[in-house]
Amino acid sequence: MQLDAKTLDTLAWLSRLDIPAEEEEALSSSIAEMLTFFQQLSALDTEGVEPTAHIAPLENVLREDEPFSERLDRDLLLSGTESEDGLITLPKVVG
Amino acid sequence: MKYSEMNIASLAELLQKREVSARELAADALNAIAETDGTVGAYLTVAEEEAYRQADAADAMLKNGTAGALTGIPFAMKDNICTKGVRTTCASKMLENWLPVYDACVTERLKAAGAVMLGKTNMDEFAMGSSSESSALGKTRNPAAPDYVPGGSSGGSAAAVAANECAFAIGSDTGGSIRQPASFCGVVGMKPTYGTVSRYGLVAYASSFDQIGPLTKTVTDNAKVLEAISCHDRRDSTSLPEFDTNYSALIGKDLTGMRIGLPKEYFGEGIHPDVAALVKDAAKQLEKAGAVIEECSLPAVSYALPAYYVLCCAEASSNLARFDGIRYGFRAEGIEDLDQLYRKTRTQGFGREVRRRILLGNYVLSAGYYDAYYKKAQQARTLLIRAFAELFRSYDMLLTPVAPTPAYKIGEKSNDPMEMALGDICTVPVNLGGLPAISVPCGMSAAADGAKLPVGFQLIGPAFSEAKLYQAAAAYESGV
Repeated sequence: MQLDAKTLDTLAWLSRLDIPAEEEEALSSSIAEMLTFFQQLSALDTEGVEPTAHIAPLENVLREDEPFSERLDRDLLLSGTESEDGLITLPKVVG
Repeated sequence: MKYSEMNIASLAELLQKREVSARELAADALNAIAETDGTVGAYLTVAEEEAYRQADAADAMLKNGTAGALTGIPFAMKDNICTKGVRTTCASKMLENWLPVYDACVTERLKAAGAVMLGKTNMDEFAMGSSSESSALGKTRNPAAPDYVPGGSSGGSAAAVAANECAFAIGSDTGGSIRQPASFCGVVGMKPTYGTVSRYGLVAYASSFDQIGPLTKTVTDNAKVLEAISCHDRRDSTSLPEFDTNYSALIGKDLTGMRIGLPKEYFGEGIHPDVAALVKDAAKQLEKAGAVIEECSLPAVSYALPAYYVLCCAEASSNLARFDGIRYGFRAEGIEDLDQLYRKTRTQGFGREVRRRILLGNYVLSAGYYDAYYKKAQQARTLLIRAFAELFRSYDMLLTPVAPTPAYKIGEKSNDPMEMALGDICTVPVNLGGLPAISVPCGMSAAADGAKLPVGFQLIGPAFSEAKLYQAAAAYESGV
């Protein structure tokens, strides 16, 4: 299986990644190799088999939406990001 | 025997008798790290101040009679588990300087138990890999043979235990990341039943597989650590509501009548002869201890590996979308617009293996391919779960190798991701099924260059069978 340049471009866009020119060939063939490997699954008879998205036998449980930490929200917002006067600073990203 | 070489049970006894203090143990462990870690490279961060603070708290607990099995015991934490105020990097440039503002549930539990965290251990970047070589921040060597990988992704945690740089370590296992490095380094590693250890504060890789567990020197130690970290936690929506956490209950009990299956598919082509021989020797030991050993068949494992890689890449591509240059950590310089902010940050912040898995994940999730890959893999998962359930009607547990080979040389497979992936063949079925499985050291294999490399066997049980797995593993351990 081959991965053409256009498909790789689309994938890069979906992933919000650039593909450095020096990695393009190796990456392309490595992805193609994995996709070929994945195709082993096509031989499997899965007619009528339910897909498993998750193993845990859980049902969605709703609870009251109550805050349980006073500082966590603010600390979280400011952790590991650049901030000034309690506000997050970002580079200008809109025209 | 030095403190650093002792297991949890022996250290706890000395602490209880006041023959040593938690502070002295912390100092001793930090010394061991200073002496050894230059060669091993198990730690990314050594948290000396934090360790002494926790040691003093432990000494207070010992004094006022509130100490438990782990009070004062020095341990290491994998660097994808949040530790408030101690950087949590996932071995990635993306989070190189990220300081969590909260503790993971596991961190909280260990702090409350009085355990003393020495630092954070190296790993494959975002836990994606099987040798710890995809770390952007350091190289870890196998303590048994320095030219060899420690395994991965919890390679730093396994190496830290094996090199006596901590009494126990915490790892995470998405497709074998606790068990395989445990096997490569010669320590005990448990991947518990999915949902029994909270993932709150574990940086997500593939959420439907990720599970935290302990790496230790002995089986009993392992059960004690799991007892401390396992609980229901409302902050993890996949945390199970009710289950028994008395994991050491059956240790020391006779194995008579226990039925252990040896699935023949795990002993076929691609399995190193030393690995097959050592695991079969372990089977004989278990038989001597009273278990009934029988060959069985699990043909469904043949499609476990492709199904696992489809699903884990898909989940990773979604989970890692949050690293956008805005919310966490690294941000690229010289940005002109929003698209560039995302793309430059992610391209520069993520290493090659992480980017490869994100691209693959987006491929299998994209319109037109979803049914052929993603849905098909989910259906394969269902079939594998059924096949395991069928086998567990006849057997209490299954005995298999942990990895097809012993540790390989650093650099040997790092440029061949497919070859690396094939090494996960024995461990990923467990994660697809959400099952518990333990890796137990069972001997050494001699490499051509004279290196002696540890080998482990794996016991796989049905959900919630940890106590039985520990029972069998401890019976083996005490007979060796």
